[in-house]
Amino acid sequence: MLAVLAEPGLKVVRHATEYQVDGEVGRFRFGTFDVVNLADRVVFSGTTLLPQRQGRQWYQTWGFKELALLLGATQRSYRKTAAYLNRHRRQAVGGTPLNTLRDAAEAEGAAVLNFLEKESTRLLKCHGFSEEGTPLSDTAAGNTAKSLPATLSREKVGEAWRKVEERMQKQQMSISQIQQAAQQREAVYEDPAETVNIHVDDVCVKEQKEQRGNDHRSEAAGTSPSPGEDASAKVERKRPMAYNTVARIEREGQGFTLTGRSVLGVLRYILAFLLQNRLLGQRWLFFTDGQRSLQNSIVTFFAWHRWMSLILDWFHVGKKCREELSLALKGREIRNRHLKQITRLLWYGLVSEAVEYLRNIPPGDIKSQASLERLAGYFERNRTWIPSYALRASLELPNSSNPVERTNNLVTASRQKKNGMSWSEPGSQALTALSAVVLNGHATPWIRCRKIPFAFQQTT
Amino acid sequence: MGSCSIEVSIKVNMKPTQGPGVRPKAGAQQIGPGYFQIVLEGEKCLDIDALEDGLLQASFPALRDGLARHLELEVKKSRADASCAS
Repeated sequence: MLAVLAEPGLKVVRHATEYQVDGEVGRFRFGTFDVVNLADRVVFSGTTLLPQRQGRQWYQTWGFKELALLLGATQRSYRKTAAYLNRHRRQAVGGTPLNTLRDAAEAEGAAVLNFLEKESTRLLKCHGFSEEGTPLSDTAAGNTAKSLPATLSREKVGEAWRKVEERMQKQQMSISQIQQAAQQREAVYEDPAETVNIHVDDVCVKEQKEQRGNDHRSEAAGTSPSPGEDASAKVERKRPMAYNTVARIEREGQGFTLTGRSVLGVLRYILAFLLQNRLLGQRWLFFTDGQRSLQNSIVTFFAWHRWMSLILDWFHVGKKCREELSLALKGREIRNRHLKQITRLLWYGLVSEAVEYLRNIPPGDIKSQASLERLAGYFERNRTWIPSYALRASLELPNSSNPVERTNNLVTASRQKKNGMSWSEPGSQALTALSAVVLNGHATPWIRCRKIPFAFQQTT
Repeated sequence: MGSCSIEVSIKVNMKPTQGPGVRPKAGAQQIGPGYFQIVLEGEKCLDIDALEDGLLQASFPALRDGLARHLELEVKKSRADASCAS
C-alpha cells in the first residue's frame, strides 16, 4: 500500500461504509480507507486486507461463533442465547438481534453439512469408490483381503449357551424350543475388538408452516378430527415433520456422531469415515429400529461389503409387539399375558415359534386379526435381523441401538423437541449438525480451520 | 465518601518480534503490577479473530488483578482507619 501511495496523483479517502464486526467483545465498526487516482478510480481498497463481507454483513469472529453458535444456540433457545450473549458483552442496546443469531446458526450448520458432503466425496474418491459409494474395484471393496475379522471362539459361545439353556429350563420352555434356540450357537458372534457398531436412526421434529392458516390452532395442537370427519381426514391433518438422520459409530471406547439431511447422505458419510479410519477389513454391524426404508437403504448401500450385518434393536422389537398387540387383543391383561410369551420367544431368537404362537391365539382374545397379521409380517420381514438376544447378552455383545437414541436426544431432541417448538427443515438440520460438531469435540477445528477431522473421539 | 473512578487503557502496538521478551508466547504475561501483555505473530496484526482473542486473553487477567489489588488496598486502608479510630 505504501508503494502505491508513493506514486504521484494518488490520495487516500475514507471508504463509504464502515467495516462491521460482531465479536466476543461485542459489536463494533471501524472505518477503512481506499486509495484513489486522479480520475477518482479506486486503485487499492483497504477492505481487501480484511475478511470479505457482502453488503451490510457483519464479520463474525471465531470467539463470537464459539460463544453464540456452538456453545449458545445449540444448547438453548435463540432468544435466551441472544439475551445471554448481549448481557455477557455488556451490549444490551445495539447487540446481536435474535433473527441475526438464528440466520447465523443456520448458515453455520449448512456450512458443516456442505463440508461433510464435500469431504465424503473426496474421501470416497481417494479410496477408489464412486461418488454414490460403490467400490470401483475389488481392491477398493476389500474383497481381496485374506483374513476374516475375528469371531468369538466356539468355547466361549458354548459357555454362554449353557447359561442361556439353564435360564430357558428355569422358565420351563419346551425341549423343542431349547433345541431350536441351540441352533443359534452356529451363528457368527463378532469379536468386539474387530467390529464397528454403527447405529442409524431418523429423528423428526415438528415442521414449521410457512403461513398460519385458519385451522392453525387445531392442527398445531394435533387434535383429533371431529366425530363427523372420517379417518382419511385425520391422516391429511397429520402434522408435517422435519427429518434429520443421525448415525453413531462406536468401537472399543471410541465414538463419532454424524448427522445429515437424508439417510443416503449419512450412509455416504459413514462409509467415508470408515474408509478414512482404515476399518474396511473389520466387521460392520448396523443396529436399527424396524423402519423398513432405513433397513433397505443400509442393506442396499453396503451390499458389497462381505462382513456387514444388521441387528434389529431389542427395545424396538418389544415396543412393536406391545403396540400391535394392544390393537390386536381384547384388554390389557390378555395383551400382557401374550406379550410376555412372545417377547420371551423372540429374546431367544425363536421367530418361527413367535409367529406360530400368534397364529394360535384363541379367537376369543382377538379384537383385530389385521393387527396380528401385521405383527406376524413384521417378524417374517425381520427374521434375518433377529438374533438370539439372550445369547448375545450372555456374550456381553450389544443388542440395542441405544447409543443412537441417546445421541438423538443430545443433538436434536433436547434442543428442538420442546412444547410449542416447530422448525424449518434446513433450520433443524443445521442446528443438529452444529450440535454434532460440539458432541464430537470438534468445535475449535471447525471454527478456526473450517475442518472436521473424521476421527474417533474417546468415550471411555 | 469520594467517588471511585475506573480507568482502563488498551494499547495495541506493532513491535519487532526480534529480541528478548517480545517473542510470541502462549497466553498473557504479567509485565508489571496491573500490566499484562500478549505478543502475537506479525501476520496476526490484521487478523480480527487473533486480535480479539489476544485482547480477551490479556484483559481478563488484568481485570482480575485490578479488582483484587483495589479490594486489597481498600481493606488495608479501612483496617488502618479503624485501628486509628480505636
